[in-house]
Amino acid sequence: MTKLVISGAGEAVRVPQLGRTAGDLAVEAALVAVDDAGIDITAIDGLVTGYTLTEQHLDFSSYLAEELAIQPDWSCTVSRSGATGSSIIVEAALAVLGGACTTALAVWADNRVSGKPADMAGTLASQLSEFEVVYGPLIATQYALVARSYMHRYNATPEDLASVAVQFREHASRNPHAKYQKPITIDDVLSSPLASSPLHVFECALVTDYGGAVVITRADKASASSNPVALLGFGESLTHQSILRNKDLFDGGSTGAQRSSTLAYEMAGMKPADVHAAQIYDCFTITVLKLLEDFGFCEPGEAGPAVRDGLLGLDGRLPSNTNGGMLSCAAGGILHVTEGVRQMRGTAGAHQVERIPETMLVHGNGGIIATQTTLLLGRS
Amino acid sequence: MDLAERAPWSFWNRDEFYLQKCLNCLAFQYPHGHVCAQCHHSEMTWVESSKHGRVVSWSVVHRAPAPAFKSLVPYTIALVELEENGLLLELWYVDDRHPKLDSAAEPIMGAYVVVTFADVAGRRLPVVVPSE
Repeated sequence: MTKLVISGAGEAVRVPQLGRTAGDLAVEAALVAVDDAGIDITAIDGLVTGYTLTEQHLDFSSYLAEELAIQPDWSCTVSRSGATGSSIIVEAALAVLGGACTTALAVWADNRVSGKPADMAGTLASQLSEFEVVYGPLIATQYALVARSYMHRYNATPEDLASVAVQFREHASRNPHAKYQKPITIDDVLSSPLASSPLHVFECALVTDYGGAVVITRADKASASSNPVALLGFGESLTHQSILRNKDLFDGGSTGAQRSSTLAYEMAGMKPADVHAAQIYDCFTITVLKLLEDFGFCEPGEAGPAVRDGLLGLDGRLPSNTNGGMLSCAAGGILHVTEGVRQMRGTAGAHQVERIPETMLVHGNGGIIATQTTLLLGRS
Repeated sequence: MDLAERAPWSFWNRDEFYLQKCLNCLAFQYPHGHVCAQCHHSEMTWVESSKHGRVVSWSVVHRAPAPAFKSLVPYTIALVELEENGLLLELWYVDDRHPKLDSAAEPIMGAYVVVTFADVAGRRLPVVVPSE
């Protein structure tokens, strides 16, 4: 297979100042990524963007192409809920592999705070079936149902779940760009208000503005002045829209992340033990525990104790969400990708993993554990 | 089949709880759809549910997702496995033995429940209550 690389990565101001549009954030991240790739914007002949909840665009990529004054050969907008940040990398990779373009720019930005979406809860609820929405669940409620089932099956404790948020906050405490940097304890998490039991507010991802972008191209086409990271493999999965149609979530079965990661491992010729670090979509604490098991890093039911033992710490066996993740740093799964690139390059500063990872798993999850996208990065 | 016309909520207005049933493999289905999720057959009918099931998970919602729910929090949403080939329902759990407590009802995992009807945020909806 043609070797692909991420040749550039960029973020809009890493803690975006408020009051900017999704378009502003997208443009800034895009220009940083293109500059980081060591190329001119005119070299971009493919463009893929994620959706925005706050601005009406039938196709955000058309809007962004015009803002960047480019006329790409290939473009599209992807809407795969939370997995979008990783999915746009897959779409870009497929376009390059298929010959639709040579140098693709993948961008996801949204201003979910500044944009003051009139009914964000309602928009997010459109991921659920009418049968669920009429009873007034939060998105957190849907994940809470998964969490209680998991805890009941494996005797997992509230402390097991809380330890995920505590660990990522520790990473955020070293990241001057994280929204919340003050270290927290398990007690702090468990004494924060309940959003939807058993999930507390500190176990739910932040709502922030964000913007991130990466450049994907063939390894032999990357600029000599860039510092590329290899895209070794990827895989995706879609299992359901309504959790009522996927009983695996409640009877000890696996999520679609097992499928997406298996596909990615196969493409990369890797196995779970080959992964040095990870950036895992942490919309809720329970998501991380479920995904760790489906990636093959922990046996079913054992992720909680493993996290409490330091599995995900910067000096752990699988340093994860090294910028603080969505639980402490910022929303938007695209930042898992840009942070993954940063760690692979060894340029993360105070929150750099001590031994620079040679491989990285980046994973996006969307809907109610429904859309899954796994990326595997390596040294180029 | 016109799904909108035969949607379950057309039965709910009469306090009746119906499930879709596949005419080919006889599997029950909820939520309803154009094809059977088991065999992909597209000829389906509606049959009245046993209404009996067990709680497989639950959550108490503490923050209203929409204005209509603001005066109702906290309330309990249960995930219920129906007797009919283990179909999952998600609906309010109401425990009449503990009315008007300031915290919502908390069912025991595995508790037996039965579907009845109640007004929820202005709509007539199926809910579950303890079955004994």
